[in-house]
Amino acid sequence: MKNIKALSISSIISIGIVTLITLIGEFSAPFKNGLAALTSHHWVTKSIIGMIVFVILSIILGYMIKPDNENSAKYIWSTFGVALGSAVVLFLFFTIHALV
Amino acid sequence: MSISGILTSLHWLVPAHAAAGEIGALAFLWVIIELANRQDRGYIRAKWVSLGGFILLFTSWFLSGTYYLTHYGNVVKQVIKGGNLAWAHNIIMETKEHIFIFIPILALFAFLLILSFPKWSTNNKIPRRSIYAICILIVALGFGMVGLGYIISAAARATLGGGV
Repeated sequence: MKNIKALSISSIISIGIVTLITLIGEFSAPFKNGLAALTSHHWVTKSIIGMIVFVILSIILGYMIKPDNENSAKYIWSTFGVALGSAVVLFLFFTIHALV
Repeated sequence: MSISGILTSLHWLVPAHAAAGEIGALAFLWVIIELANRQDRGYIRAKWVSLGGFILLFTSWFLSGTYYLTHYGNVVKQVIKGGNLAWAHNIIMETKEHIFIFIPILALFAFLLILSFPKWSTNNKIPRRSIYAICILIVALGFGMVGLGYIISAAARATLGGGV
């Protein structure tokens, strides 16, 4: 069994970062422009950041964190919750942002 | 048609990104069925199918990103935002494009999870329900993207005159 705890924490952080920088970018034009300046478009930058954070953290945390196989389900459900929650938050945010 | 031809042709890019995304999402439905059967051969198939699903969803992400950067932002977005259905971009597309970013991450996470349990058919301590839930979420988000894409293209067609 691989280090499920490290994998889950990595996915939670990467999805969380993508969601967070998306929300910050909508409130701060300079921040969004900065993201766009890093590549060619803010979407590309967010995508690359999300994937790189997941891959690098998975490797680093895989060595740093001791596996906690007894609680694997808890970590996987946490990833599920963060991913689903992020999707809902993004939808609600853009809905409110467009209507208000 | 060459790869560069697909990447520059709107008529190939839109169906190609949708097809890769839908087949990638369906792959994780296949994975659930294989895992639920708890057979050794099924587990081996699930490993390969989840890898294929990740590759397809990553390909869809790349193709849709190419479409978004080369066609959508310059043409479709301007059409939708210039009409009465601007909400289709402001709510639907904004939500779609940002959720889309973490679907390949979830798919890679699911593949690595499945890879982590080589004794799938015999070990009773494997957190099966949570792994099924991740796969179901990938399927749901994948097909959610298809539905949102339909709303966006319908909005563009309606803005241009409807009935197209």
